[in-house]
Amino acid sequence: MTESSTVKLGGYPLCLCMPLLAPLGVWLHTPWLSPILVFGFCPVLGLMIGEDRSPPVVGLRGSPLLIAYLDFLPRIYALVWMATLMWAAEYASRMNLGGTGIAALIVSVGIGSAAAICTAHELMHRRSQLDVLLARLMTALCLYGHMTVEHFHHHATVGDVAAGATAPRGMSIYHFAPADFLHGLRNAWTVERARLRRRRVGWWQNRMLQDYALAVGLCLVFFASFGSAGLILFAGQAVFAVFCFEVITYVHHYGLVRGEGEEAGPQHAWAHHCWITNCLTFNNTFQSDHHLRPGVPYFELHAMYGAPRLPASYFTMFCVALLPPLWRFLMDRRLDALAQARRDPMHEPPDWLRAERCR
Amino acid sequence: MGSKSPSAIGTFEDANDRISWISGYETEADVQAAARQLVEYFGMQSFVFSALIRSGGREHHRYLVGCELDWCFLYNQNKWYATDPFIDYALNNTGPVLASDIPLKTPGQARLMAEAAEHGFRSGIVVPAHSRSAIRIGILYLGTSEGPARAHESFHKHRSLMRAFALELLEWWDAKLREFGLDDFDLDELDVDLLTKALEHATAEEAARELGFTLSRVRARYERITRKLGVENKRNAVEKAVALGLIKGV
Repeated sequence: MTESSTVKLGGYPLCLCMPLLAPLGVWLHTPWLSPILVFGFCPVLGLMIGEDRSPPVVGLRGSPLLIAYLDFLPRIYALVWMATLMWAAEYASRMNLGGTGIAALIVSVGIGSAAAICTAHELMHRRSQLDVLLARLMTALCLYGHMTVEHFHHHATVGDVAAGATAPRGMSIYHFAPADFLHGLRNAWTVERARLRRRRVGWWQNRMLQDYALAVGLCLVFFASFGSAGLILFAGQAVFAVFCFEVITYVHHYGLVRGEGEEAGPQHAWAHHCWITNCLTFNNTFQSDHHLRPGVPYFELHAMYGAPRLPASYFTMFCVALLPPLWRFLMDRRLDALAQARRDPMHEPPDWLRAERCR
Repeated sequence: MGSKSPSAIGTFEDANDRISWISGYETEADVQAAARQLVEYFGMQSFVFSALIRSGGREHHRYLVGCELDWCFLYNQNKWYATDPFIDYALNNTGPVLASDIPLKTPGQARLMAEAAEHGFRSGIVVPAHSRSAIRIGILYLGTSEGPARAHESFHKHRSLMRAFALELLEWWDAKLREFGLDDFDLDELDVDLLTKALEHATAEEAARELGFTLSRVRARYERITRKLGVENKRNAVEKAVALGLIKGV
């Protein structure tokens, strides 16, 4: 099953579950359904289904319907997620949810929003201006206005601790997340300032300022439409989603520092090619390939030989990252093994450290 | 626009309409079909429109053909574009002219004309078309296998329409130039993005950060672009790309 590209094509729409779990949880009177399924059930399901061995879907010129299906999925995700967000704000304003109730709703919607940032990430790399605008709207809805600018900076500086996005060995997620957010702000500001100066255009063309202005506008719209409960829900899901995204960035790059003069390569992103994770996140685990070929659509990405392997799937490692001692226990020995392999070119990294093995 | 299809042209107004539609045609086949009808209306039989790009001592030709294919093959095989007296004329003049009024300077040119007469261009009309860029010009050849009297009559009757026709064809080519140019020089969209950044005076580092590639990859890509465009450096590559219509100048 995990070797079939046809099954994988049918698996991609599973991503729509991420935002839809929030209303489903309310409907089933199980407000924590979404986090329970995503962080509890998904890792188990991932183990049961196994790793993604499906070939990338390439050479689709003769299949316009298939192209349309794959192209439209991220856009459909965006629409479903935005509808869920509106529903949740309306629901929060209508029901008198207590602290626990609103927290459960924020986390449930926030999980869909974190996946929405992954979706926006896919859209922002496309050439269509409409997709890029949709990506910017999505990141603004997550109060993450600098992401579309900063992410390209990240591609240029993969593995450079000073540029952010790569946590040095020993840094905990609680230190990394706020520091990286600020780093991102600074990077985006630098990039935009240089761009505007070159083009000799005014500050209002700064995409970062535009997107944050849009985010503020959206806050006001939610407050005006759904009152303070709607605003709390909106701001809460955004903070949760951005934190989740920072955790994913931390998991992707922890300790994989690029040496002096070293080219960026597959060795600069951790990977675990869990089939179900790939379906839910538009192949986000093929990060090494994405670093090297940023413009390639999600369905053409594949695992790369040379990418170091995470001990478990993203969803599991997400939870582990929240427990720094356990994280360091699991990850630092991997960094040691990688360092040893790097010191001695004759010494191949052990199998357990390779995300993609020769087949 | 492809749906505005060709019924026969009977009047000046029809011909004028057909010429004004050219800029909206999507495909070369649509333009060719319209061109054939216009040439027929002019009372001529054959045509060749040549879009010529002169850049860095090299010339690139693109043709829209409405004549015997054997003639095109022969013309290219003998590299007659290098000595064609009509190209010389078009490079230095703007007005349409009867082909018989252009003096032949070499025996090679006389041989070219003799062969042309055998392939549907016994007499003809040359219509130059100049764009805003000095390196891009168009030349419309209209030919007939009849004697000079036919060309003479057509020339005096339709001179202004012929001129408009040639200019519209050149405009159409200009609009398509980007995709043709990318093919000719084997460049892709990323190359265009990088050239656009260089046009804005972005450093390689700035281009890398804005487009999401590592600095080394951007530098390698700039080297490849300059090689493919056959120029010395990045600045020359940008100038050539603007001249070729691959990127829009500021």
